[in-house]
This record gives sequence, structure tokens and C-alpha cells, in this order.
Amino acid sequence: MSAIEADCLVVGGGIMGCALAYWLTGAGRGVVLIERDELNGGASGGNAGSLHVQMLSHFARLEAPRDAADAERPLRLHVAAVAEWQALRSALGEDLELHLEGGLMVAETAGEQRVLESKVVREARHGVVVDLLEGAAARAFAPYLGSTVRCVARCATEGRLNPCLATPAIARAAIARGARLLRATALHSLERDGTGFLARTGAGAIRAGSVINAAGPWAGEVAAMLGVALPVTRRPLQMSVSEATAPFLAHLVQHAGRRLTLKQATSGNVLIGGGWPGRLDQAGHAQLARQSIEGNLATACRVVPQMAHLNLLRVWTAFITRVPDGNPVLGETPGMPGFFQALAIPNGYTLGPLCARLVAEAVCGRSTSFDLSPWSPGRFAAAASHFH
Amino acid sequence: MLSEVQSRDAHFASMRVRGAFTASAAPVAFTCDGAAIEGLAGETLAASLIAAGRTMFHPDGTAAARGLFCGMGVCRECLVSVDSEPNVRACMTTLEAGMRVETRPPARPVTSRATLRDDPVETPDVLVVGAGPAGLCAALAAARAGARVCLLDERSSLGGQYFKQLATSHRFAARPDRQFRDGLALIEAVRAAGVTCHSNATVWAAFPGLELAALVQRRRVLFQPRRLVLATGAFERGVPMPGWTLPGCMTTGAAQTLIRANQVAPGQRVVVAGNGPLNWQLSAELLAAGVEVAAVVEAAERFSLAGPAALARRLAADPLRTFEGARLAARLRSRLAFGSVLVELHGQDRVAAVTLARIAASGRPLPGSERRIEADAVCVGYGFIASSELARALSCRHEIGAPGTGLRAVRDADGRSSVPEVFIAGDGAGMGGAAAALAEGEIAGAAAAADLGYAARAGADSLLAARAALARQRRFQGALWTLFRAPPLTLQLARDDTAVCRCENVTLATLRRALAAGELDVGGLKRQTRAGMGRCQGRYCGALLNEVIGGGPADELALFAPRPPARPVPIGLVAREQAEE
Repeated sequence: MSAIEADCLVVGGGIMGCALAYWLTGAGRGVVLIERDELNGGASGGNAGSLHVQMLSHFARLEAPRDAADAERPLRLHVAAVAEWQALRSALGEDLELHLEGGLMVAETAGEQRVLESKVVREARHGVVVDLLEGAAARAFAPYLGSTVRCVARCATEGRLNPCLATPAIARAAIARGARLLRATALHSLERDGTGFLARTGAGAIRAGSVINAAGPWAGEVAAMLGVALPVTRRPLQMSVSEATAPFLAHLVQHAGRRLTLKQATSGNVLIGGGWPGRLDQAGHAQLARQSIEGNLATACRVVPQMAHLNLLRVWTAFITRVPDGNPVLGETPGMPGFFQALAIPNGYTLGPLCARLVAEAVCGRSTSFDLSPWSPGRFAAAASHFH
Repeated sequence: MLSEVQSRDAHFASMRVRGAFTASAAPVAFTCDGAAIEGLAGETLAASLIAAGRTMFHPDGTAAARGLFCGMGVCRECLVSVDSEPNVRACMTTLEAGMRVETRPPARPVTSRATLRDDPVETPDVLVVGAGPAGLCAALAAARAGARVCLLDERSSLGGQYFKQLATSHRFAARPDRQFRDGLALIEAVRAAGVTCHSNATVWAAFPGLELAALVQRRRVLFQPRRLVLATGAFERGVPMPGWTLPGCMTTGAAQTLIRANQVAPGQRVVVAGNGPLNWQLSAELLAAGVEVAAVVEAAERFSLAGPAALARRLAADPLRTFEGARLAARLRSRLAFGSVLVELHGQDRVAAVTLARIAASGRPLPGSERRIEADAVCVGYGFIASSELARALSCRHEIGAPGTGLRAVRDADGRSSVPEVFIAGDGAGMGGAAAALAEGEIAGAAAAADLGYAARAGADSLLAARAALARQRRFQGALWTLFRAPPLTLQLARDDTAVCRCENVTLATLRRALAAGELDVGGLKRQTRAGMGRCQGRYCGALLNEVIGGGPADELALFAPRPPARPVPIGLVAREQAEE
């Protein structure tokens, strides 16, 4: 069987991979995408579709100067990423259940309030507009909040969309532009082949001029096939969803001190997440942890008391992709020309389309709309040698 | 106004049947959507409402009405609010005087009264989940061997679907039939053996390491048993057909609970349809209660109980049931339409008529054979799907059953699953019927106790008898289903605009469109169309999605992943403060 030829081989069929296929075919490149399981079947389909702009609370609580710099660096990217989603929605001509009704980060304690106060100042320096509402003003804006909430940080451009609609819509658009999306196609090996690459896959051999690693939680394993060390780890996080109910929760709700995200989908179901961990069994499969279900729901009920009389319908896990500095990993790999990394961290779904476009620009040799150097895949090698 | 009241009263009287051996309590007053109604304290709310002619529910608050469908707490289409508490299943809730019932979600819901004390942890030797025939026998066998046994059941009384007990709105005024008598005797024996019995107990999740999270009378309890017997039974499988979401269309099991346990008729003129003897039993029970049965539509071709000699010998494994079957067939003869299925249910707000037709071997209806029958209630039973969610959550291995019938647990002769501490007995492992479930329960309960060093004292003979009975029942069931063999019906009756997923109203056309736009597995199909995301948690459409995709599932991984909760549970009742790392 002769090899499939392509300009670009995209590894991974989540939001990053599908958006890469969309942008690269838009730039005239021939694209083959391989996905081991189902398109949108990992964290892209399993996440709740929050559109984040505010600094995540676990970032906001870090105080060491280098950590603070890491936390602030992706802020502008988030502002642009939400605009990118809006533009993409128009370009696709599909609804995607995208709504930007604003987001709130709540504080229940004085310490959490101080975190918010400091966060707002830091965000302002990076062009993120967030204001603070206290007590009665917070409840006037968000009547569903419980009595323990003393202060909220409000960001008008936060919101949500439905990943179960958005990724397939992008995938369809990529296919319409000529991309080949091969599902249930595993990557067995990846090697240099002249100036390009040879991939052995479940669909046979694929030769490509460049390879873009959009494998998310498994990006480290893909990079290792070419001898590239990426410090990518994965962790199963839990999501819960309630039965559908009449609209009452217009905003994306987060917490300054606890793991919590809360939002109501267009279907009326309330999605509850925020990073409570699942467990791994001996085979590396994710398992649900009872304590994480209970704890996540308890925080949700305290912040939004109405949650208590909704029924829990389903709980699941999805793997989140992590690197040590919590920042994106974008662009060409130093020492391995033609091998690009595309990891939208820390909010993969929010950042996906924008980060995919930036990497696509880099693949095409164009100047990118953001300076990608802070997010170079090479930064970890430098950090590692510095460390040693 | 007066005439409306009079007709309501007439309706009230006509929907309540006069049981041959029962007497009812005095009526009590309650309200439904603001109107004053009378019902019988102790019956299910679903029974009270249907007896009062109120057959429509609006579980999602929209105008489109649903009726009582599964009657056993699975479909969640009969959700009402009671005294402003939302999401109450009318079929699982007992009527009390003065209840304020709304058939739509309340404007201002009240929070359930949760007790947020630390969870008690219970560590019985053997925990049995499900108090039907299998669970009762398992609990009894384990307790008689000397094990400390705890038995949980979701319903308000023990007995399960087969031994469903007479609602407390009624009492026996004469000697009840054998099914009632056997059930009562078994339940009394279980209590006498010292089994700790909890009804109104919902196991909402099971976690590896044999930890089961339950709500017992709305109180959170964590069970960490040494051995677990799952006897979770089964629910009727969905066979989508045009009109099957209309109020008045319910499962055979739902109708049987109405008529047997609550002495309320599902309608005034009933059509029973599907495949298998349970539909015949229901039809006979309706007739005995004086309810008009317009037709009994049976997918199997006409057969004779006197059939081939080899078959007759196998049927003789259970002569009593064979004799009862022959009596049933004689009783229903004029109403039986063999080799036929319902192809459409008609009606605006509720069922008013049905069309039946003959079917080909493919299960597709034969054009030109249609016949229309007036009916205000339709009871449908095409067989069952095992409730395997807890077993799957514990990673017990399963095999794929016949098309549309879900999973069968992999077990050894004792009922032990691939997880050595977990036994599965009865229809929860794959369908075998109540008589087999009794034997399987006894064997599994004894084996679970024996694991822990509790040797059955009087057990050896009884256990041998149970194994012999099980072998006989399997022979009998094999013969029975040879007689009732019918084309496996999944989607043959659905049209483009028929809802395959009842909860989310996802039609066959929507599913096919999603597949036409790109190849998908069941997970992908679910995410793109919302099929299986609704309040029944995919129970009625999950097994059908593979049929839409084509080719059927390869293994259990090709079905919806097992995810908690095993039943939807109020978030306020399962929430609990936990430390973050």
C-alpha cells in the first residue's frame, strides 16, 4: 500500500487538531488529521465549554514572582481567544450555543476577597476588564448567589459555548475545505524522512512535510517518538451535570478559593466542574472519585443554593493537559524543523481556535499575530539545563 | 361545571377496579394543579392521578405532555412537584392526604431537607441490592447461613416487580392469588431470618473497592460490604414507534403495577402489545378486573402449546406455568392477534386509537395488513434490559445480548461475576424470569456467605434443589421463548419523525443526519445529538443507538460508558464538604 502524502499531518482530533485542519486548509495546505479514538472524544468533548477570560483562581493565588509572571502571560491571549470564537462562529454560520453573558468569580472569605482585589489590579495591567461587586450589589447582579458570597469579580466577556456542537462544526468546515480527518486511526511511529516525516498509522504510512502535535494529554508520548522531550502530564478531572431546568443561571460562575465552575447550558442542564480530580486505575484509565463528586457539589450548593434541589444526572472525567508553567506550548520545536507543538494551556477549549490559528501561521511561515517566543516548546529544555 | 364534576366522578369510579380479594381504604383529599381531588392514601401518586383522569405530566415544563410510561421509576416522565419539591416521581411516591401536586416544575422550588451529618458507614457481611425474587432469596440464603445481611430496595415496599405488594391503600379481604402469597411468605421469611431491610433506599453509585453510596430514606449511607449481591432486575426495553410518547402509552410493567398493586385500570379500553407471556398475564388480569381489553397484539406467530414433542417435554419442566399458559391462551383467544405489532398510536393529547399490522420476518410491517382499533390506553412489552449500571461501575465483565437488549453479565454457576466479591442474580444479569431468579438468588446468597466462612447449615439439600430448579427453569424458558420467537424488533417500527430518545426528543431522522455528516460511535452520536443525555440516562435509547449506526455493538465498550449516578439523585442530598488537596 502506498503512503498517504500530505503537506501537514495533524496528530489529535480534538478542538486543537480540528481547528488546525480548518486553518491550514484555509491557507491552502493539504492536511491529514489522525485521531486514535473519536473526533472530539477526549477533553474537547468532555469539557463544559466555559469561555474563560479571568485569571484562573489557582493562578491568582500564586504569589512567587515567577509564578505570577506565568499567570499573567496568557491573559491577553484569553481576551483575543473569545473574540476569535465569535469570529469563527460567524465564519461557520452556526450557532454553537455561544453566549457571552459574563462571568463571576466569587469570594466567600476575606482571604478570597483579597485574592480577587489583587487579581483585578493585575488583570487591568494586561487589558482584562474586571470589576468587583460586593454583598448586595453582587446579589442584585446575580440573584442566584447564596448568602456566603461576600464579593464577586465580574468580567463581561466571559461566557460559554457547546463543545459538542462547536468541534464537529469546525471539523465539517475543515473537511469541506479538503482536509482528511481519519478517526479511529492510531499513530504507531513517527520518524524523520528527508526534510519531512514518515508516520506509521492505523491507516497505513503517511508522509508529511510537517507534523503538528495536537495530542493534548498524550502530546508528550507523540513528541517522544521523535526524541523530543516535552514535560506534559495529564490528570483526570471530573465534571457533573444536573437535569435540565428553566434558565436561572446566565453567567459562568467560578470561585476564588475553591475548585468550582458552574454554568447553565442552552439545554437547561447545569454543568458543574472546576478541577476536582478523578483517580487513575492500574491501567491508567480514569475512575471517578466519590469525594470529588461530593465536594464539587457541596461548593456548588453553597455558592448557588438552588443547585441543591436539582437532580444529578451524570458524572464523567476528562484528561486535562498540564505543563510545569501552566502556559501554552505553541510553535516549531527547536532542533526539529517541521515539528510543531500545539497545546492550548491552561484553558484548552477557550484558547483552541486562536492557538490553532497561531500555530497554523507559524507552519505556513507567516508572522504570527502574537509573539509565540514565550510559549516556545524549547523553553523546557532551557529550564531543564538551567535546573541541572 | 356540574356535568364536568359528574363525569369526573363517573371516571373516578370506572378507573378503580373492584379487586376479587381486596378492599380499599377511605378516600383522602389532595390537589393537583390547584384542583381538589380524592385519592386513596397509600396508593402511588401515579395511581391517584390516573384514577382521577389526570394522565398528563409536563416534566420539563413545556406544553408537550407525557404520561405514566415505565411505572417503575426509570423513565422519569411522570415527574411532578409535591408541596413545591420538584422532580418527584409520581410512580414511586405514596399519596398522603393534603399533598399539593403540580404536573409542572414549581416556580419556587424548595430545597430537600438534607441531613448533613457525617455519613454512617455500614459494613455488612453481605449487601444485597434489589428486593425482588433474586434479592429476597439471596438475602434469605446468606442470612440463614449465618451472615450479617443488609437488603436495599428503591421502592417503598419489598418484593420488586414480580412480587409487587398490594399498596397500603388496599387490604386483602379474601385469600390472595399465588403470586401475592408467595411474595408475602418470602418477605416474612427474610425478615424473620434477621436481614436488615431498607426500602426507599437508592444506591446512587458504586466505586471500585466495593463501596456503595446510598440514600436510605433520603439519608446518606455508605456501604462497605465484604460481599455484594446485585439483584437489580430489569426494565422494559424501548421499541420506538410513531406515537409512543403519547400519554396513555405505557409499559406492560407499569400497567401491571397499576392494576395489581393499586387496583387502578390503565384505561377504559386497553390494547396490550409486544412479545411474550407477561403481556398475556397482564391482559388476563385486566379482564379479571373488568377492564375492556380490545386486543392482545403478539409479535410471535400463532403457536400451539401442544406443539412438537421435544418442545412439550421441555415445557413440562414447569407444568404449572405451562398449564397457566394454556389457560391464558384459551382466555385471550378471541383477542389475540399473532404475528402482529402496533405500527402507530394515534391521538392529540393522549392515545385515542392504534393501528396494528402483520409483520414480516424482518420485523417490518406488511403494507396492506393494517387495522385500526380505538383504545385509550396501550400497554407495550417487548422484553427487558438488565439494570447493569452498578455491576458495570464495579467493572464486572459483560457480554452483548441480542439486538436492542443491552448486556448480559458474565458469571459462573454460583452467579459470581468477574469481580470475585460481586455476585449478580436474577434478571439484572440477563433475562431468565422470576422462577429462575428465585433459584439464582438462593445460590448466589449461599455462595457469598460461604466465601466468608458461613456454611449453610440446612443448606446442602436446599442448594441442590435450587440448582435443579434453575436447570428446569432454563429448560422451560428455552422452550417458552421458542414458542414466542419473534423478529427482534429495534427500529423497524420507527419513522423519520419518531423520537428514538424520548427524553431529549431526538428523532430517527436527526440521528441519521448526524451519521450522514460523519462517521460516529455511540459516544459521538450522543454528544452531537443529545440522544441519551436526558433524565432516563439513556436507558431507553442507549441500546438502540448501535442499531442506528448499524452492525450492532462489538462489545460492552461500544455502549454508553457506565457513569454515576446509577439513578438521578438530588444534588443537595449527595453534596458533602470535602477537603481539596
